This record gives sequence, C-alpha cells and structure tokens, in this order.
Amino acid sequence: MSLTTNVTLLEKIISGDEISWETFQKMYSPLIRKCGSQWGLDDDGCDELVQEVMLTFFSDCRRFKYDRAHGRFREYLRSIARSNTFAMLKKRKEELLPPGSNEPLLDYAFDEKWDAEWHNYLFQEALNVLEKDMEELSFRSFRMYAIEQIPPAEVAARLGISVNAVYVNKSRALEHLRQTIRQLDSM
Amino acid sequence: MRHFESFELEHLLNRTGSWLFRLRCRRHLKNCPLCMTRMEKLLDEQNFLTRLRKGLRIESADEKRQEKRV
Repeated sequence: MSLTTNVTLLEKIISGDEISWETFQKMYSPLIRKCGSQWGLDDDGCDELVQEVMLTFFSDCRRFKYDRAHGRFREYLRSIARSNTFAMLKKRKEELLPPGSNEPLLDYAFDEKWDAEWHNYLFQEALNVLEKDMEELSFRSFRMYAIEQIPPAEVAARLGISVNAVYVNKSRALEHLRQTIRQLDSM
Repeated sequence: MRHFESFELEHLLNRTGSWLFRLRCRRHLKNCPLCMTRMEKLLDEQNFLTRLRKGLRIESADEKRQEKRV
C-alpha cells in the first residue's frame, strides 16, 4: 500500500519537512474550505480560513506532540478550524451567525458538519489510494459495478471478464477501502 | 457439503447466474451458518457501498429512476 501513515506525515512536518507540509495542505485544505462554505463564507473567505487554520497549526505544531490518548488529530484540527471560522464570522458580519446564537450549540453544529465532511473526505482519499494500488481493469470493474451501479453482466461484457470476476474485484476493492479508511481515521 | 464463496452468493442478490444455481444457493443457505455469515457480510458490503456513494455524492440508481419518472 502506498499510503504514508498520517502519523509519519505529522512527524515530518514537525521536523520541518517542506514536502510533507505541502502534502498536508493538499490533504486538508478542501475539507477546511468545505466547512467554511457551509458556514456562509464565500470563496475569498474560504481561502482566508484555510490560511488562518494552516498558520495556527504551523505555529502550534512545533509544540504539538501527537498523543493518541489525548484525542484524535482530526478533533484537534477541527477545534482549530472551528475557532478560526467563528472568529472570521464575528469579524465580518454578525448576521452570518444564526439568530439567537448559542455558543455550545454552534460548537456542536460545527463539529457535526465537520465530522460528516471528514467521512466524505476519507471515502474520497481511500478511493484515490485504491485507484493507485489496484490493477486498472480491476479498478474499472469495481468503479462501474459498485460506484456507478452498472449491472454486473454489462460490466463483464464491456470489460471482457466474467461476472464472477466482477464480484471478486468488488470484494477485494472494498477490503482495501476499509483498511485504508481505518488507517486514515486512526490518528 | 459444498459451501459457496461470497462471489457465488452475490449471484443471489443480483439474480445473475443460472436459475438452478441460485436455487441450490438458496437451499444451502437455509442450513449453513457459514454461508449465511458470508451472505450477511455481503449485505454489510452493500450498506458500506451506499454510504460510500453518499459520501462521494453519487446518485443511487433508485434516485435516478425516480427522477426520470418525475
């Protein structure tokens, strides 16, 4: 499997590895941007949010010592994204916050949306890893049958394989996806 | 007793494979905990795929059919 564990990535960032830092930004910017837009930030606002979150993380990361016992990395990143999002909303326009804003409720609402988007991000990343790791024909068979829901007989006919092979590819792909998701979500 | 592999049991879910083969599978499943466990795993895979498609924001085949009717 070509996946670098995220724990290794964090360690490399803390040690100042620039390529790892770029990888980190590429991995998490879409997630942060998505959360920003869900809270009413426009494109410029989302760009600013990403920068603010990355700056906060960068300035903290030297002190940051990843310890799984204290909570997951995604919860840590979520708390940075939440505080920066609400700080930006307060600075920009009061009306972007829902009426009768109650902070604990807002925190809860933000965390729920973040966790939902996190899971979507996991699925997409796992699929990207699968595509790199799996043989092309097998991946296409999986994609057509399991994702696009093309009937298995049609997939088999188009790709010149048996229906049994379509099913076997699907099972192998799902096992790979689950393993990748467990790894990505294990931080 | 000949057990069935997961990919063979999937013929039941999708109604692929020959009618006779599917009949043999169904009869075997009634009395075989091992194959029943495999079938349950297949159903669990289906649930996972539904969540995966939702997470990737891909419309399900059912949703597409409903849209066409409307």
